[in-house]
Amino acid sequence: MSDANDHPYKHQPAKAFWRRMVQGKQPTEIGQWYEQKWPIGEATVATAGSCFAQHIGHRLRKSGFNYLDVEPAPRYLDAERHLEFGYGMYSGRYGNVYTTRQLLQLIQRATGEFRPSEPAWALDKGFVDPFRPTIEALPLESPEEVIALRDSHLRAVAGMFEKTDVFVFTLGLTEAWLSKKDGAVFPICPGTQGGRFDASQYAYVNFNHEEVRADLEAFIARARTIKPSMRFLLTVSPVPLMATASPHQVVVASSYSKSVLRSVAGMLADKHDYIDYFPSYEIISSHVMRGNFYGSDMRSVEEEGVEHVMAQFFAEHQPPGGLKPALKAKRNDAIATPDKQAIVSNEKTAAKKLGREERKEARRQERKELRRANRKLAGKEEKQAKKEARRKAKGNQQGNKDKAKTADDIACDEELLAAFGEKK
Amino acid sequence: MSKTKSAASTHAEKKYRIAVLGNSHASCLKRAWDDMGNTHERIASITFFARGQGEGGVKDLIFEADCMRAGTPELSQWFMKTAGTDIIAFKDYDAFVLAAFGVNSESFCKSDLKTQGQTFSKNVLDIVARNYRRQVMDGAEENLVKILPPEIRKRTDAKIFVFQKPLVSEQLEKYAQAGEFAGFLYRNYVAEMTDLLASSGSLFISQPPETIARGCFTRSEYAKPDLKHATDEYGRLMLERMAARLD
Repeated sequence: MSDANDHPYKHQPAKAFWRRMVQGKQPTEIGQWYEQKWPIGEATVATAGSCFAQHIGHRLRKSGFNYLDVEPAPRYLDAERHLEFGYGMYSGRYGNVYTTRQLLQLIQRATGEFRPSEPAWALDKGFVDPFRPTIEALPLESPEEVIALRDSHLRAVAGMFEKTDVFVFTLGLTEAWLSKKDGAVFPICPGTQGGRFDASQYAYVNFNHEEVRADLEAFIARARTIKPSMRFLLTVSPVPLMATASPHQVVVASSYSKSVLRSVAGMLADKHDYIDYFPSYEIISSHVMRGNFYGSDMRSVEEEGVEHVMAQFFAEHQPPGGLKPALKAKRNDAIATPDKQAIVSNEKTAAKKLGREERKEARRQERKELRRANRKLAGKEEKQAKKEARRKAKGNQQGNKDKAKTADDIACDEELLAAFGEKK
Repeated sequence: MSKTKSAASTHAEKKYRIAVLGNSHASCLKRAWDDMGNTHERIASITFFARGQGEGGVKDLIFEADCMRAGTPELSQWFMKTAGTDIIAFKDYDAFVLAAFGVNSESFCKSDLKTQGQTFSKNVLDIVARNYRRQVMDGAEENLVKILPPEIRKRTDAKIFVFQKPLVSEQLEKYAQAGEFAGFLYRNYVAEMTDLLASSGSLFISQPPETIARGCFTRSEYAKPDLKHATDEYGRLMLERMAARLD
């Protein structure tokens, strides 16, 4: 006999109730945003998406996940210039992929199934690739160079799909500009960063829910023909539209766009066990966060916001070898379980007492620690130590050379002795 | 500063007395010179002052007003073994060859391991070239290349040649992925070394083009089985390249 007072909500966890999760809490005390569907572990991870995805990729790479970078920067290009030239931004140098149509066409272009007819766009005295017009800090020399670089890029992207176990995609926009000739979608409006706007050549489109869903499903299906075991982690960018070409006010247009994207992401994640949804959008933009993580323009996401988002992520996904100490601390702060709330609250109170500069310094130290941990992970310290040992060994040769001789040295000596008619 | 010449020598018939100062890569030159019967229309003699263990082997040289001499017992032993003397008197030579000095030839391939055949824009390569050339100028490994030619030049007007280290063999599997970018670095290296050495009136002799494969490797027929040292024929080609620059 069933209990007359029993009903489904009685069996729901605390996180299902507004009063218990949100009410009376500071924004950062709100937790349990996300529960992983499957672990990432040692899987190779690739990222793409709108600009917010850069933050995700950057942190996945730095935290020790098996992050794919199929177009790494060449040696001797200054690290601080990598982003200027599109290196390290995502797993490939495709730049921002704002729409699901753009993503679908990326894989189609990489596999040679779609060859858009759009020529290189002229910019200043050079040329840019219409499909990634801002990927280089400076325009390229010629249309031929644009094509050569694009071919190399697409070959690398095709290889990326073969190697990817988990593809992280951040859905950014529904609005786009496309070629009337063959439907090729551009990341930005022609004429804004190269090319010339011509209404007879280009059309504005605001993809609806059905179109976004169809494109994303088509992409996923195509990607899984390349790598059948590929899984997908979808997120929606919390960054609002910079501008709309629709007749609507920009906030209204942004709301529509994000609603469509959020809905499709949720729908596909519910439908397929190999698709997960991570709520970076809600963690930043939900009204319960009171806009705390937005900059003064109410559009850009502050560093603290990105860190808070990623702390929720790292609470569920740890890289092989475990989370680095600095990240672990952040994650612990971020998992605001009831027991931890008091600690978090105390820490917040203490933090408030710190001056702005002191907090900056603390963050700086934390980042330094993280960088150090990552260097160690990458084996750089080990390499450094070996290098040092080699240097010392060379130094010792001065005094007692035979003791410090490497196999290479001995081979060199023998080569020389043989030439001068003497065997050692 | 002195330069000894045969009293009867003229520009056309002048034969050069050459001192090769080098490491194990001097072996191919020595064997080539022996194969040539120790004769050449432009070369009167070659004396080899060689020491194993890479470039560092000859770093213990002491410069005096009229000569260079081995500064350690071990270097002295090696010079005695290869040249019959451990003193290199400037008056005895018309040209000096610093054999196989400069960056480790593996470095070009090593730098290309991650890039795996990517094509880079001219914009990016311009920055890379600038940074790379700066590194060549500043690199610790280049010290002997920077130090020795000016020191020799202070004491003699003799010609000074710096021979490049042979590139690694194309058969070295660990660098199978290297290619276009490694070749780009190598070309920049040659250009930078040429400029750098010109400032001390020295000449950089790069690897003969016919011995280069895929822009950054030594063709297998010019590499010894150890994949590092070069063959006698390579040595001959290098000597010919130098001889062509003797005047």
